[in-house]
Amino acid sequence: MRKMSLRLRIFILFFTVSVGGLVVLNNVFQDKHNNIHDALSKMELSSSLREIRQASREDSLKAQSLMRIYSEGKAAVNIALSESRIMTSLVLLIIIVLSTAIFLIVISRINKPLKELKNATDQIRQGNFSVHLSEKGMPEIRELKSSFNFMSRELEAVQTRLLIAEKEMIWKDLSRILAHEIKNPLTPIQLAIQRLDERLQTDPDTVNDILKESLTIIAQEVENLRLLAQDFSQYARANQPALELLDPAEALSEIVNSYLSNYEIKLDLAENLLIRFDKTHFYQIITNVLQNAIDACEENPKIEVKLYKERSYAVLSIIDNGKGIAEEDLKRIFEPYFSRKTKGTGLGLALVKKLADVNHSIIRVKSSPGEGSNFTFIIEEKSP
Amino acid sequence: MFDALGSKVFSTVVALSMLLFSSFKGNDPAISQFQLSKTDSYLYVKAQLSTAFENDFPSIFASGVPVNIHYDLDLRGANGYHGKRRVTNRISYDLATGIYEIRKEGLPSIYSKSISEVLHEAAHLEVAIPYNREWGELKVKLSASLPKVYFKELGKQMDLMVLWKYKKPGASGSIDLRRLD
Repeated sequence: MRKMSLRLRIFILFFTVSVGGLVVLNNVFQDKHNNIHDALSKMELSSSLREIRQASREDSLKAQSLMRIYSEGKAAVNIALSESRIMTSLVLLIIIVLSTAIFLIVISRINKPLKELKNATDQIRQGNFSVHLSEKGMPEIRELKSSFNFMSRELEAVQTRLLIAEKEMIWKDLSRILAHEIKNPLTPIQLAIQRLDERLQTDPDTVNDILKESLTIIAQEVENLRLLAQDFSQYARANQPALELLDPAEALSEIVNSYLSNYEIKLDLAENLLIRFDKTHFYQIITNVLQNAIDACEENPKIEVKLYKERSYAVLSIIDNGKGIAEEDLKRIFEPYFSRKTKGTGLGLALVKKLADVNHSIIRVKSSPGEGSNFTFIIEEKSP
Repeated sequence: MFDALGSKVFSTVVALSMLLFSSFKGNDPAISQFQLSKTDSYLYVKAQLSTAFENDFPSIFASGVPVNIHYDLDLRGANGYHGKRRVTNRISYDLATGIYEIRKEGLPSIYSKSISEVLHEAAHLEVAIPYNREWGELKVKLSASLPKVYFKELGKQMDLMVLWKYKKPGASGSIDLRRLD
């Protein structure tokens, strides 16, 4: 059953207690009036007095006066009783109508700003701190709105400061990483060039002996620089996926095939599963995690790739027997630029997480240092 | 016009409040058997007030204070307004003899000991109004009302319309005065 709104609950309470009380009071009055009216109708004096033998004219005048007073009194009480009953009901009706109207006006004057506050709070919850309320209405409501505005202004200021600080921190980190990552390949390039230069100066005839080796080093490091640029570019571009129906078993076989000549990778793939996923993102995720698994195994890597159905989900696991991840690092592995590896940008797993998120899949990581890691992806299965 | 409208609104609100919150019976007067007829010289208006005096009125009539019942006629022809006529039935009671006197305008008084006869006569209206043929199609509106009564022995004035729940019963009809019967 739908929950009753606060306004409805207050209204029912008001009606039950206030109006109900008045109606009960009215019923008591009406009942008492009825009793008086019944008693009055049974009081008869005139006919009895007329039957008494009135000895003198004086007696007769006294009796007539008594009858007049009594009869007028009875008639007047009758009219007054009727008037009282009508007025009681009328006043009750007016009280009910007026109090209900006043109640509804007051409630709406409270309810409207409360609704505004609720909407504004929702916006704050969604991160929009620029919302401010007009400080109108009853004094208590004005005070509440003023406090809310003060809070939202404070939050807005804090958010602005945080954004500036965050941007600054990101730029600092990025500069540090870029400097470091660019410096790494530049050093061997510089060394290779220096070596060639020295040989040209000291013994130009034998320069050909080291030329090939030096060029290979330079080419390799240039390739590393290209890969670095590619990583940053991919991370920046990972946003809206182009979802399509994908056979994960087929895609996994295709990816793993290129590694099979060099590494021992065991495949255990359930057939006939379909998922909705961006194909490029899928390849990027699997390649990244698979490469990480290979990197984690210093010697004799044994990697297992599993795909199976669980409830209405396709579950994909990549398990390695590498060095594993320390417990304190597990919480940070998806942070950009976090890495314990000697090479790489620290963007790989951050990209994996980002791509998994935009494709609505969940990542679970289990790892024991010295035993290996298990990266599991849970993806909703889709019918063709 | 605003008085009549206000009175109607007030009586409607009273009726609603009585319906909702009271077991008070009172009286619900209505005009029935409203008839218009004419001779060469007079327009006759006949009507009967029903369910107007059954509750509470017997004790009011028996108090000895004379009670007037007003019948107001509003005459409006095709060519203009021809004024109001008020006809009053008066009921008085002799406490010493226990006899009621019903006095109707233009008619000899009726004496009776029977309250039911008194109630019937008080509720009956029959009046003759002289007219001009030029009035043409005449619209007649009839309404009944009760005045405030003064209780001399108590020194108190009270409104008898309370017993009609402030409702003024009414009826209307029209008659072509140019047509020859």
